[in-house]
Amino acid sequence: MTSSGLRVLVLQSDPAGLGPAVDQALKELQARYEAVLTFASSLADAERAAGVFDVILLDLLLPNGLGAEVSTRVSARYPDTPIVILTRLTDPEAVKAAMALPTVWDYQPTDSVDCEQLLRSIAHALDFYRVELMFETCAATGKAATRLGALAALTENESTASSRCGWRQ
Amino acid sequence: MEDLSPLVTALVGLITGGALLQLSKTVHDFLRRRQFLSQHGQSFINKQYEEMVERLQSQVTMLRERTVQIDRSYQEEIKCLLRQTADLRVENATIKAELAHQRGTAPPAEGKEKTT
Repeated sequence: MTSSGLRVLVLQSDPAGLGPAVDQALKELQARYEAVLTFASSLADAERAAGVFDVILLDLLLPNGLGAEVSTRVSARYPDTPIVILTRLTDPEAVKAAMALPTVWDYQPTDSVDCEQLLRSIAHALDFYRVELMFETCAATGKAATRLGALAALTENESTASSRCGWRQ
Repeated sequence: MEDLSPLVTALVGLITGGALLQLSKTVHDFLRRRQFLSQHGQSFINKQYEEMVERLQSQVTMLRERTVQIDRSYQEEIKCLLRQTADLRVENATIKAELAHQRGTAPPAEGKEKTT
């Protein structure tokens, strides 16, 4: 996330038909995080999309792609961006395969997710993914003190993410 | 009386000379002792200092080794937790998909048909 706001790529086959809960969550993202939403409805659009994103809301049922194939291609295009799967696909095996990628953080079925669930999922994706990256970097450089910092950040971010989403533990 | 004055003078001179000689010996002895203490005292302090430095270096080495051990252990633990978290995420997602599938709220067959 930058000071200019959260950059979200909404890669959905039908961005206009996501349902009231998702629409509300997107509005909340804009209100709370000054999110800039970029909509794409196909893999080709996503691959062409310019810029860097903080998080991707990914549909696994795209016109020219399905399931893990979609997440693999998007993850290859945006290797440093955490992905939250938001899709109508409910095939457990396909979801499991898509979730196997390290940057794919969570799965939310479009038809039954509520606003707070989706916001919490996005906040956790941002926070934990950043901490994981920090840890990996520190482990590679052997900085113990920074690793302790990462753990502290993990704890702090957990509460931060929760409070941002109004989630009570 | 006049005959005794040279004798008295000689006696006084002798006593004074003896006293000066004694004083000289005392001063010499004092200086010698001071020099001895100065040399050996410094040597003693140096020795104590070196021993202290050695002890501290040994403790630093031991603490460094301990830090490395704790760090490795901590690193392994974090890696393990991250792996477990990732596994739980996948499991959680799969369960959610199964539940959504059971509810029949989505058209999975429609998606599958697109690839086949």
